[in-house]
Amino acid sequence: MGFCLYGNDIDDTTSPIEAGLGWITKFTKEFTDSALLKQQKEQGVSRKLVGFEMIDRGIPRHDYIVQDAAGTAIGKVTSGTQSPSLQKAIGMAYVKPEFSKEGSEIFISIRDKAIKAKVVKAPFYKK
Amino acid sequence: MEMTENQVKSIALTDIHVALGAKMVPFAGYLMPVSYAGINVEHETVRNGVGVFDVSHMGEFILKGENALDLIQRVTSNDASKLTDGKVQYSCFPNGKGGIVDDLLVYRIDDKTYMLVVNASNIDKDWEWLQKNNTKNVEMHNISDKTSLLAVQGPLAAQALQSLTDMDLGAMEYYTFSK
Repeated sequence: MGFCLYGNDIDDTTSPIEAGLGWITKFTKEFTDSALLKQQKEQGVSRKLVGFEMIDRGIPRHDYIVQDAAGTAIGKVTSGTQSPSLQKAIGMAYVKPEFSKEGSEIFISIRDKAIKAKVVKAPFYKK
Repeated sequence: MEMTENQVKSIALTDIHVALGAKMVPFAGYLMPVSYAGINVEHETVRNGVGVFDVSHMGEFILKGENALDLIQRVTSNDASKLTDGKVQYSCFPNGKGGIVDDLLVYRIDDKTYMLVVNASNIDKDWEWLQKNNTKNVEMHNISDKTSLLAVQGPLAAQALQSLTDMDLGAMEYYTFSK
């Protein structure tokens, strides 16, 4: 679905705005970090959690490095698996915002090889 | 966290799971039934039929009193004032440093009573965080150890449970509860 798993996709170091949890972050009230999170929402964040699917063969796993076409590191995988329903390898990763748009081409470093993937919109599975 | 067998907390149905052949694995201090028949067949069963997950390792807190909503509003990111009795909301606890203490579900039982359902691995951390922020004497109960939780999921979930109750389960809306 693209839901966040605590410990994998979100933790003590990830902000709800980075994690795409803006929809549960309501600035109509004051709460822990509300000023900071509002600022992030307005001014942007340096990384965003996205869903992706593998184009070339390989299964992404937690902590694998995400690269651009030139091989520069642009983020990190938080979750990944072979989806039985989609018959595709899918995952989630924090990437630089310029790579967060649907369709962006990214590469997952799997055993030192850059394997092609593309950013997709969650939920992965539409019934 | 390293753990020996005797430090592992057991859930109410442990013996039944073991007798039925579940694969039990240590998770967040609990022995959790992770699989019966294998991940792929169980995945397909939940997608197309119905499956039951014993998630009794998860944490449950009851917050009670005049200021229960005030506390929830201060520590969670979503707007719990939108809840009415019988509704559930997904939310998170920001940690004061831009990160997340945990994500959780907030249940409104009535206007002065709420239940929070939190991740097993974060029960102690969440409880301490709530206590630290509980400056207005909200009555707090950690009922995690005496609460079992079964998640019945899949297109046939309501049908599978219907014989157990007179309530019309098919009529229940998304993110609502009843007792």
